[in-house]
Amino acid sequence: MQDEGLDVQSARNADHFGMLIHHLALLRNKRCLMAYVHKRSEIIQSLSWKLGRVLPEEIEQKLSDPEKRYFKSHSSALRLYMRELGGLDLTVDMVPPKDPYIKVRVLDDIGVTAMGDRDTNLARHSIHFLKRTDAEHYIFQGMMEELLG
Amino acid sequence: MANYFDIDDILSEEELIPVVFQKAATGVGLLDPSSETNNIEQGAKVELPFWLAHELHTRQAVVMSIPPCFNQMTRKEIQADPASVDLRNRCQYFYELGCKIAPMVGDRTIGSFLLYALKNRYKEVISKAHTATFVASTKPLTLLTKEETHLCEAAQSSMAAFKKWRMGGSRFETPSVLGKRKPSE
Repeated sequence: MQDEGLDVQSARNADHFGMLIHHLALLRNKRCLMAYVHKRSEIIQSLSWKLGRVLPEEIEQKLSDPEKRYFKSHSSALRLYMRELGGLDLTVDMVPPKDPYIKVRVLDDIGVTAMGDRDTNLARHSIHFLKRTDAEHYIFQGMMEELLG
Repeated sequence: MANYFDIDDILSEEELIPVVFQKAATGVGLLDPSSETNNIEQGAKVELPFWLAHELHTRQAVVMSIPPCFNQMTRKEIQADPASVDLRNRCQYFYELGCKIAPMVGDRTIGSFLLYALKNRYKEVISKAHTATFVASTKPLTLLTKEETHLCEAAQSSMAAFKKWRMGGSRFETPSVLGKRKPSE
């Protein structure tokens, strides 16, 4: 630490090494904590791609206030970027779909929603044939499921 | 530091390394269970985690010796039958730690020993990953280090992908993002 200008022998006594060990332990603890926060922030970033701008209740209550702010500003940055691209929604259709329409079952009472040019009543357990882009956000939030076959 | 946020890198530096203190240190008696005072005397033999031993080693406060997972006994066992040695129990991060410790201790044979172990265990890992089913493969997995487990999983998933491709797969692919349930469930 103090390599130049000081007499090495007198500067590095037992107290020096005791302090050094405490200091290194501090740095180590800092690294562990930083890695933990970093890992969580990566997950929060991916959530704003997967779930859209609204977090489900059970996830939101596990986040701290700075994390909620981070999620909000990340998704608003993402929205701003997509607006600059000319209104292209990058979060849907990560894999090119074969068919623009899919059959879905509603798992939660969503209510009457505007779908395309008409209103659709998305009651619980009803089955609909919807545009994939309309249904996708509901599926990510677990309010619908895709019917296969 | 390139891997500052890498959790595996952090964990690999948690392994205990036997060291000998060249200098005394005050106020850190908890590192040495045999010490009666709160100090560490010169010449005390202590086991320190790698992250601490490494920094003290570069400042010439301690001298590192080779941890037990690279000692002669382990080497002999690996030479006898590489695939059946339980490296997970000895050191989860066998290869990562070996790479880090090799330049620190004056032992030039560690590098070639690591290469020998990986080369000979690799064949076994891959062939087991390809042949065994998922249920049966849990037993040999318990002998593998983190690195080898990743290799094994990669082999299994590529084999599954190959089989799917050969059978033709489903003609109507649903996007994987849509099939996913919400993560909170």
